[in-house]
Amino acid sequence: MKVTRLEVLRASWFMWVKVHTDEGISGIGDLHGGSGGVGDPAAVRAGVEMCGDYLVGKDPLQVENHWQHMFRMCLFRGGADLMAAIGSVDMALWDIAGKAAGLPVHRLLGGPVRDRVKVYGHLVGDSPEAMAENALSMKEKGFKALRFYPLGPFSEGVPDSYTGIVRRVVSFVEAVREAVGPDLDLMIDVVCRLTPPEAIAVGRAIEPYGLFFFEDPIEPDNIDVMAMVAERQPVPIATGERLYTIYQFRELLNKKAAAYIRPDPSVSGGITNLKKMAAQAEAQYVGIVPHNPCTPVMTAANLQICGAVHNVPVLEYTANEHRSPKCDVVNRLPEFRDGFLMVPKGPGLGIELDEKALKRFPPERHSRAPVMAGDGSLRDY
Amino acid sequence: MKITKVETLRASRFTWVKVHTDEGLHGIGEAHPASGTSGWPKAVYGGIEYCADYVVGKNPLEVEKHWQHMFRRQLFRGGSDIMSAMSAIDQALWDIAGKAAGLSVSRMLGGPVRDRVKVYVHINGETPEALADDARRRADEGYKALRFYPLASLRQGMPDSYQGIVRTAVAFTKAVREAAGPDIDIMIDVVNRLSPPEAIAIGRALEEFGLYFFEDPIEPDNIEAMADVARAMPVPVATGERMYTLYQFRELLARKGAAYIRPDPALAGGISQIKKIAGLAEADYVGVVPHNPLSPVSTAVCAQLCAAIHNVPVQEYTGTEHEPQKRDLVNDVLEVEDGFLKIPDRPGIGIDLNIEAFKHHPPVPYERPIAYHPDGSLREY
Repeated sequence: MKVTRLEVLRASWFMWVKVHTDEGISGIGDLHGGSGGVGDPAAVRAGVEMCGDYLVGKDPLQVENHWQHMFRMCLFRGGADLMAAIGSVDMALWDIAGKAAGLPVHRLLGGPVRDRVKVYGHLVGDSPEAMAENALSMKEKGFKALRFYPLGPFSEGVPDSYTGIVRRVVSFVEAVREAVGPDLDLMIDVVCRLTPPEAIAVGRAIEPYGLFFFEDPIEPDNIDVMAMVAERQPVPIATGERLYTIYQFRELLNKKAAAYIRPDPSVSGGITNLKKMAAQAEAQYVGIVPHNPCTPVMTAANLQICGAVHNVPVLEYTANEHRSPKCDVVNRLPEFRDGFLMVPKGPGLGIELDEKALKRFPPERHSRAPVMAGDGSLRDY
Repeated sequence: MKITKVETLRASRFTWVKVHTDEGLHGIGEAHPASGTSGWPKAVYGGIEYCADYVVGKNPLEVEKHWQHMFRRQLFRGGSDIMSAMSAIDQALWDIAGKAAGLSVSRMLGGPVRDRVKVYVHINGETPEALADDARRRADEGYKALRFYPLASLRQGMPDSYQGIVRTAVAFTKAVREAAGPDIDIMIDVVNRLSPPEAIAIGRALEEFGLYFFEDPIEPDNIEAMADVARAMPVPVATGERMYTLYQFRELLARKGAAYIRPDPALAGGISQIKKIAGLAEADYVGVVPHNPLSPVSTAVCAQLCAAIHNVPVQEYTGTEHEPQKRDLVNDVLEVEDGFLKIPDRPGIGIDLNIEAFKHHPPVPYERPIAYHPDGSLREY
């Protein structure tokens, strides 16, 4: 079997890679926007072209070999964009390998270790009351874990004072905890927007609410400081969605900066690389909670990883896959059952794109409002 | 598919498991003698019985799940014997999974990254001249890497003085280097017999001979001391054949105790765990050199690992697989051509036992000579 063509498919603000072969089998992978988390992720698409320059004509089944080639041909390592491309191509190659063998990917990798995985649903709300109400409705749908942004409207930045930030977070967390009761797992994500002192103050203030994790408390670049935040406040840290090599995760783990790591199947180098990161984490008693903000294709790839990897405590789930456009662009949605997602049993990743439907959702740029401090300067966003 | 029986098979100095299923497929795996490396490996037989209690009746294809069960039901971790039993069963389960899928194990794991692997062959000689002769013979056969014990006779123990040890190692190494010429890789193994000062003195004295690695310079239990030796002398350290958990290898790597790690597929948790250990090593730029002192079954398993793992620089090979006590026991042995072991692309691990021939090779206990200090006290052996 030979790879004949790599194609980037787009709809709405989503992208996928489709790898075609000369034997009728094709594979797909969700493509993260990489550096284009804001704007048009053109660099990622260029990364896919570069991977295609290498991959076309090769036997798609030699997945690890191709991973090493695509990684090492970047003499100057390609960063989030190239890694997102490699990760997406890697997912598609595993999809092909599974289909060629007639097996779901998790079975190739020695699984299943589980047939379903607990998910945390994204919970949204601009006020503590709205958040509490939404939490209750998600609890009624069966969710056993919920994650939310505890600083008010996402596009409006953060409160202007140190104590204002702490009070704001406490008010949201308290409202959600009271609404759902003591036995639902709750986690917060501040998407790297806080300074270390703010993050430490927030973590200490919310200790009574028993949060499962505190995600991305500070900017992602300095692992020493992430470790300091982990040490100086009591809530377990989850981080890693913006890291993409085993070398970064090695440092994160050796410095004990995370209780949970969050590699993304696209940005962090695909199923091949995530399996290695999971092993690194297993040796440190750290859970891997794969990042899963994109489409049901990524969810399916993540479910294959969850089916094969021991140390997955919970998986991210946007909880909007049944809404358009996500539900319209795939042939089937991973099944949600009582707070768990079922690991797909079909060959490969167990999901296909509906390419005709893609046309109904023209490509959009990623939009994310910058977060400004009170004086007009920039925070991380 | 269900496991119906786990059989312990013995012939010559080897122990294997054969895992039977209700669908006619079976898998084989090799058990390391572990604590019974001097004498009979009785605890390993017990370990196999113990693991069989768990796996019989289970679906053999859920390899990772069974690994986790076999590991975690040992509330008090069982050490090398139980790990050996688990490893053999893990190999056999991968053998079954590969056969069931019609794929080699390396293909299930995303390989092959290579279709052959360079081997280092064992050379032997109790004088520098005899060792040099063996080096020439193996070089003439095409081998590109040679490993030897540089302290004269493994049976007769060690020179009596600090300087005598160094002089002996220099004499043997010099003889091999001169016989092999400058471009064959040579490595030494002192099987953990030296004290740290002796190991450091030898390593420094041997720098000029350009050894590829210095294996197991000191006793295996204290990783900090191993890292001290690695820092204090210039020859890259290879170690790890007596380690068997992800956690031990994590510590070895984090402390920079080795340039090459040597997990044994029959001891260090089988194919499932060595894939994880390789992921850890890759993040530290460390090579995995699978330990392979046993029967051709171990060689076949090592070959599958070499085809699935990027960071394998060279593979151990005893060079004795065509001798009757090994060749007779299997249906086929892997071939070495021009110094490389050819990796088969057959379903499973690609080899089977020839049980008919076992009657000609009854089980024998392990004999390993004891090493003494001149005053009659014991060295590590």
